[in-house]
Amino acid sequence: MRVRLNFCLLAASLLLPANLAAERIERTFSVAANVLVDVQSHSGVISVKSWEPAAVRVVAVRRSRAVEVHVEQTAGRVQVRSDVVQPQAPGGERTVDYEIWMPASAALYVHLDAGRVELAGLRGDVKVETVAAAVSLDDLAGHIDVTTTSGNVSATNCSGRLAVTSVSGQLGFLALASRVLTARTASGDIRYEGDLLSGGSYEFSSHQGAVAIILPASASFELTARSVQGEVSNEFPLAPKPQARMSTPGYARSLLGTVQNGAAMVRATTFSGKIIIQKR
Amino acid sequence: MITCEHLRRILGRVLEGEYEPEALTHLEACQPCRLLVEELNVISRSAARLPAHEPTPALWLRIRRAAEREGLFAPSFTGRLVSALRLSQPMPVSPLFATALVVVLLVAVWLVGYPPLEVSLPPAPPPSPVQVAHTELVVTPSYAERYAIHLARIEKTMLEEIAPADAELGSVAQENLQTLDRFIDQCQARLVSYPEDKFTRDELNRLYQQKTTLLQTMLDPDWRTSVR
Amino acid sequence: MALARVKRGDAQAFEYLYHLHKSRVYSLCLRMVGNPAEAADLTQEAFLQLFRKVQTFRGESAFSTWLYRLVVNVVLMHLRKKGLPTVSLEETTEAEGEEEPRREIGAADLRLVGSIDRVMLEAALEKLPPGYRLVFVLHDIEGYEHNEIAEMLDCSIGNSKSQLHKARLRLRELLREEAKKTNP
Repeated sequence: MRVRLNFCLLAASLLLPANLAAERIERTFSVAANVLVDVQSHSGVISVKSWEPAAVRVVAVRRSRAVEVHVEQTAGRVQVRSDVVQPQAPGGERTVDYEIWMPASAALYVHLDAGRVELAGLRGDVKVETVAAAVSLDDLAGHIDVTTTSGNVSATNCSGRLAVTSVSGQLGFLALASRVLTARTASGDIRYEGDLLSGGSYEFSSHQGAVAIILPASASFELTARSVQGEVSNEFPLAPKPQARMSTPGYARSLLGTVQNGAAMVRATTFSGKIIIQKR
Repeated sequence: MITCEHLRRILGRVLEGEYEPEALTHLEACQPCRLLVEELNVISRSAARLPAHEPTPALWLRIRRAAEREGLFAPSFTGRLVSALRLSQPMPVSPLFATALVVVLLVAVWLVGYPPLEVSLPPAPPPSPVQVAHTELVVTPSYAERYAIHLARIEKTMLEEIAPADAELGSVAQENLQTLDRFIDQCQARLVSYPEDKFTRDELNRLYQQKTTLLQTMLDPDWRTSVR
Repeated sequence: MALARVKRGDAQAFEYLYHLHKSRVYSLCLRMVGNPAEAADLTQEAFLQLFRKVQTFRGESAFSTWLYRLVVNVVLMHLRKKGLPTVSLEETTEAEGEEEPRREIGAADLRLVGSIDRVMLEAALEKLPPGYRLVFVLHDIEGYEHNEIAEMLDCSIGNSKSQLHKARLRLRELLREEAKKTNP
């Protein structure tokens, strides 16, 4: 059943002064646990948290009539969109800030050009795409896929599978319990601090940026660290793989070996960035 | 940690793949020794690319004549026939008989000696798809150049058409595209010197993927709509 | 099949084998003696020996390995006749008088060049002692493995590895000297 809830302020806004101060809109929908929440906005803050009720609550604060907000519920989906109708308006007036609460198991898709995305406590699959917006993930599980152009990404206390890609954003990972992590940036730095799960796979790749991996002294992992032009340094006692050959073409600097019994797999590659494996 | 002198003594074994953990530890920390290893690798790789030299075509003729003189080649049928007909000692024959014999011999030689039997040799195997691709992409650089020019034109058109109204976002996209292009150039330059460098090739593919994603983002109608 | 016909003295099969292997044989000879006329003579002698001895080839090794062994013997005999010093292939693996690697201020950095100019490398190769040069050519240029080279040169695998390493070190010195001259 399609229930279209037109945004009332669209009509009301015709009666109000153009330079309206921030307007607050609230909508709540009853949903199934596996609902998809789809949020697309140009600029602002998008904050999404989990809660117990089988419902999605959207609170939107827009700065001016230069941007329209649409919130709809269709079968299986809640769609939240901001459309800039006056592109010549100053940047601050094209901003909409969202606060969204949804069931932990719901799936989430977010597209934001500029601003900030903050996600917390979600257990369903998450996909985030931003251009310049920063992304902050706290206590997420499920499949998490984040792509930014220049937005920085930080993930804390996340589990599940995590894939983060950026062109120039900085990527930071702290206290993860993820078994599969893929982090890629072209010119940004990557920092991973925390432990590794036994059987986990952790891949870090940067073209120019540094890759810093800070692990407890008891960490157990098999390391493949390679760089064409960057320095590679390691503080862990490494038992080199018998087949490691310095004459292998392609990379001037490489470290291949096992720490403890090699319970997790760590792969760090850069073209010209530094690779640092440190003890916490 | 071992000294540089010690490393030089065992470096030959290390480069041949023998397990020497002390050497690897030393190389991690010693830049001059790492430079030495890389230079030795450069020498080895450059040697592998040296072309073969070709002898002059005349050399085969020399070899063949020398082999024939030594009797290394089995005589042809004509040769065997002439040998068989050669008499052990000269005999008195009438001029008419001699002439007739010569004529018969000449006819026999012509009949059986020409044309020579063709011996079919195994044909050269056709080039593999990898060899063809290598020829087209590496040996014939104009192919890659033509492709690069075409792609550059597409990109230019795309960037001009989709110039977003939001100047700040447009410049973010532009700067990051330039960053990716710069890194792509670095990888391509490296592959000219080290065409077998799989790591750089993988990195190049990652960069292409990122560039594609960025261009797709810029082309996304929703993104463009949001800034119109 | 061509080999069987060669054994029967088939001239066209000889010619086929010649064209198949001529570049590599001639290149090896030229890189060892540095002179095209001498290299042509050695190539001729090598192929004549092949044609003379082909009946003795039983297939215990790859044909090219067997052929190259012939070529190497022809080359070494030629060098001995000329009185040129040949480094014994039975030397130990101990490094001799090698300098400590150090960052030489202003020295050309081969790594930065990416790859070495072909002409420079061939010129440096000519200056290598024949024993080093032979192993370097067979391994790094022609792509033979140490076990094959050991069979060709009738030495141990360890000696082949040792000679190769010394050859590369010596080439590095020669190339650095040359690079210093062109980039003072």
